[in-house]
Amino acid sequence: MPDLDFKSTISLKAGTLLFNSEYYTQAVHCFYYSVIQLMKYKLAHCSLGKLDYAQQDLRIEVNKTSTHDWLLKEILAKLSRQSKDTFDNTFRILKSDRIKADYYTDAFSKEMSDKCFTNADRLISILKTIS
Amino acid sequence: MTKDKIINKIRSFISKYQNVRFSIDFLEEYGCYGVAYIVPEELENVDAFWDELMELKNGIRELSPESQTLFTENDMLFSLSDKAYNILPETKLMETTKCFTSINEEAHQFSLDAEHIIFADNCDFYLLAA
Repeated sequence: MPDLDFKSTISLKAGTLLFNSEYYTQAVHCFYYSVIQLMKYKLAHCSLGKLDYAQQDLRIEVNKTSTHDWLLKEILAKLSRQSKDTFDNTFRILKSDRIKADYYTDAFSKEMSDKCFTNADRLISILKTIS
Repeated sequence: MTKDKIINKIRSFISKYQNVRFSIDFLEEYGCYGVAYIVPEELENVDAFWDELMELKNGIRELSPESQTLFTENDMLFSLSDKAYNILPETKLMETTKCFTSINEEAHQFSLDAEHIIFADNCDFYLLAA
């Protein structure tokens, strides 16, 4: 069974394929979920305070918070200084873009979609620093 | 008004960290306010600063949970327009006002509203031009 780090890589690849096929709006969804999948994976496999997927689900249920907000809070707790700040700002922008792309009539241009790829790539790079 | 509340929170923050520059603008593409900041080199490795910055951002987000304020360091994530409002610490505003009133009589016409604070921020330039 593929783990979420593999799924994250495939989601990013799927987003890139959509982007290259000029489905700029649809690609944003894949870019964002590539990040979410890696966030879940990192929480399940980090050296300190790891939480397997079932534990993550339980914590989300107990905290009565949205899955993505909870994930962000947990990941930020594992980062420091500027990378924490950059992750926080970038994640929230990408999340806003994903909501616009999925639920509203906004059409993303090549440049806007490319910006989402850059943001996802930045977030993934930061996530990879978590050991 | 949310913008004023955001500015007040930032002003309170920069009373401690006076060298951090903040600007605010309405981001049409996101339908919310965007705040850009520049962190000076001397604060880059100060943990307490980043913790307090995170507290500030969370405090600002709580002001309008439905229309989240977005943040960027420099212009990494978005650029503000020419109409962006530069937020100065209160102490600097007072110094600037004194500067104007002592040099140019016309300065008495200025008040500390949004537009003129930007003007006051460029005080050195205007004094040189005069």
